[in-house]
Amino acid sequence: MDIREFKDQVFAAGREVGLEDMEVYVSRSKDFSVRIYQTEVDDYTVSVEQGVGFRARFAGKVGYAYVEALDQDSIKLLVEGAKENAQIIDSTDEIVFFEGSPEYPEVSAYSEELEGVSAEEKIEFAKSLEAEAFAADPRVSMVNWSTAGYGETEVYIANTKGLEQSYNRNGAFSYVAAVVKEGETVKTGGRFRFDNDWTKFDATKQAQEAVAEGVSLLNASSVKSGDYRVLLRYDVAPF
Amino acid sequence: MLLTERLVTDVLLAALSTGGDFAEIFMEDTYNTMIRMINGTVEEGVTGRDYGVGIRIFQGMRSVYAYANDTARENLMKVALEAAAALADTPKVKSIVLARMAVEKFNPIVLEPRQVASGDKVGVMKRAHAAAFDHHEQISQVAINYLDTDQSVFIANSEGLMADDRRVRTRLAINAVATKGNEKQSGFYGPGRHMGFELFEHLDVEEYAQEAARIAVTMVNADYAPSGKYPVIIHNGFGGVIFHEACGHGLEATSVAKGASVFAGKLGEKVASELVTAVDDGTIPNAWGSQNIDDEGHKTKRNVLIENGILKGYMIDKLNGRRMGMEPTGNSRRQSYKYAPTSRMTNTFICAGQSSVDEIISNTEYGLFAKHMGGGSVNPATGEFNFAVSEGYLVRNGKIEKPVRGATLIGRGSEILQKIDMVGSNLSTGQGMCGSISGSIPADVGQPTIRVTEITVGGRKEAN
Repeated sequence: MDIREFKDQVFAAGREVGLEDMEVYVSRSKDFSVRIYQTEVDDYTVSVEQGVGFRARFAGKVGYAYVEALDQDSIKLLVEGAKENAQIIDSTDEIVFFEGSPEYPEVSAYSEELEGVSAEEKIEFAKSLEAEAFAADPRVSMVNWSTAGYGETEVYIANTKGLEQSYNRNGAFSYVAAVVKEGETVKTGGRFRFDNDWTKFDATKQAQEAVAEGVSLLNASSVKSGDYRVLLRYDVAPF
Repeated sequence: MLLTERLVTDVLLAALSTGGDFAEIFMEDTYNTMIRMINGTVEEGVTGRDYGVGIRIFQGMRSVYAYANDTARENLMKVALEAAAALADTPKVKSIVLARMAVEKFNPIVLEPRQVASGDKVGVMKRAHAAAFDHHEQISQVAINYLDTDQSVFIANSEGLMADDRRVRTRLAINAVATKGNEKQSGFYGPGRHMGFELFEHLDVEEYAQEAARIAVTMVNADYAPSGKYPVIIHNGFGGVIFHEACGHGLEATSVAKGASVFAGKLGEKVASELVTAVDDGTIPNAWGSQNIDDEGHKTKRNVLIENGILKGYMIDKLNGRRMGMEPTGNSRRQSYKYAPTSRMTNTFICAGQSSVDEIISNTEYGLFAKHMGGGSVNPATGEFNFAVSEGYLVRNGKIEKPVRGATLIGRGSEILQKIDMVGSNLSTGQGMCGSISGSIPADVGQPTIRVTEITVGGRKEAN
C-alpha cells in the first residue's frame, strides 16, 4: 500500500474512534553489509524495511503505537493502540503537533556518488581491511571483524495539523577489529568509520589504527586502586 | 501468517537459483506492549507490531541474508533473487518437498497478554510501585516497566522443514532508588517468563518490589567496598550473569568456529574446577529463555557444556555446525527477522552442588559476598569481564560483617572457572536480555551460590 494512502486510511479510522490530532512518522530504508573472514565473504546482508510510528491525542492525552506492515490489521492496531495508550497515561506533559514551517533549508544528506559505489567495491574494501590488519603487525593472530556497508533512509512525516515533509539520507560504514597476541597475552583493538563520502575510507589507515589500539594494550599492568586524575581520550565516551 | 506451500517452494528455489546449497525462510508477526511508570505516574505506553521475513542462503560456509517487511509474492521473489545475486553459480537444488513438523508446545500460555486490558497491566505496576515506595522513607524514586510480546513465527527450509511456533513472554522490571544526602543507590528486579499475563498469578509482585527497595536502602547506607584480590562469594540467581557473559559466550559456536574463544579446541579438557557442571537448557517449561523450537526449526535441548570441570559441548547453529563438523544443538536464535540467526544461549546455569550458603560463608575468613550483580561488560575474544556488584557484604571470620557498596569484579572467565572451590545447593535463575550479533534475546542466567578463591575487586578503600 502506498504510504500516503495508508496515512489517509489511518487518519480516517482515527477520526471514527474520536482521535483528535494525529501524526504518522514513516521510515523506509535499504541497507547492505558484507563481512569478510579469512579472505572470504563470511556474511552478506541486504534489506528493505519500513516502519510507521503513529501518535494521536485522545481526551487531552497522547498515545503512541507503531507497525511495520501496511495492512488493515496494522491500521486497527495503530488507532486502537494509540487510543488505549492515551487512556492509561497520567503524564500531563504538553505535547505539540507541529503544523510545519513556511520554508525549510536544503540539507545535503544524500550522496548520489555514494549510492553508486557497487557491492563489489565494498566487498573489496572489506577484504583490504582484513589484509591490511594482518600486514600491520606480526602479532595480529586474527582479524575477527572486517566489514563494510551502506544504508539509505527516507523519512516521511505528516499530521492532521497540515505538516507533510520528507527527506532522505545515506551513508557508508566500515569496521575492523584485530586480535593481537604476545606470549599468553591476548588483546583486541578496533576502528569504526562512518561517512557519506566514499573517498574518505582508507583501509590501510583504519586497519593500522585498529591494530595499534590492540598492541597498545599488550603488557599492561594493573593499576592500584585509588583516586586519580583521569584523562579521557576523545573517543572513549562518545555518547 | 499465510504463505502457501507453493509460494514457500518458489521462494526457496529462487534463493537457490545461483548455486546456494541451502535456503531458509523465517517469517514473523509480533505484537509488543511496553508501559513505563515513574513514581506511580504512567509516563508512556507503546503498542507495536513487528512484521517481516528473512531469507538466508548458504553456499558451503558462505552465508547470505536478506529481509523485508513486504511479504507479497512478488516482493518475496524479488528479495530472494536479490540475496541470490551475491552468489554466481549453477543451481544445485532443483526440487523441494516440504513436510510440516509437529512442534511439541511445552510453554503453555493461559492468559494471552493481548486479551488483557491495559488497565489491568497498569494495576500490577501500581502494586509494585506502592510496595517499593512504601518500603522505606529513603526510597526517592521507583521506576516500573511492564513488557509483553507475542511472537508468531513460520520457518521453512530447502531440506523440507516447515514449522510454526508462538512465543509469548511477559516481564515486569522494578528499579528503586534510595537517597541519603547527595548519595543515591538503586536496587533492581526484573522477573519474566515465557508465559502470558498468568505470570502475575505465580509472582509475588510486592515481594519483588520490596526486595528492590531493600537493596537500594541497604546500599545507600553502606560503607565503600575494599579493593584488592580476595575471595568472592557470588550469590545464586542473577549472579550467573558472570558465567553467562565471560564463559557462556565463549561456548557459542559463533566464537568457537572461528577459534575466537578460549574454549575452542578444548573438548574433553579440564576447563573448570571439578565442582563445576554447567548446562544450557532451552526446554524448561515457561522459563524466560525457553522455546519449543529454535529459530532454525530445531527442537531445543538440554545441552551439557561442562561436566565436573570437563568441557563437554558447545552451543551450535547450523552454519557454524558446518564449519565445525558438528550437529546443531537447538541454540540458533535471533531477535527478529532482521537478524540472521546464530548460536545463542537459552537458559544457562551452573548446576547445584553440595554446600549450603551458611557453610560457604562460615568457611570464608575474609571476602566479599556479592549478593546481587549489576551490569557489566566483557570482551568476548578474551573473556575479560568487569561487573558491578549491586548488593555486597564484607565477610570476616566466617560471618557477614557489614554491607559494602561500589564493588566491581574484574577478571577473566576461564580463570575464574578454575578458581571455584565451593558450590551451593541453592540453584536459581534470573532474567536478562542478552545482546550479540543476532540481536537482543531473552535469556535466563543462573547458578547456586559459589565461592571463587580470588577475584580482583575494584573498590574505594584498601583491603584490611
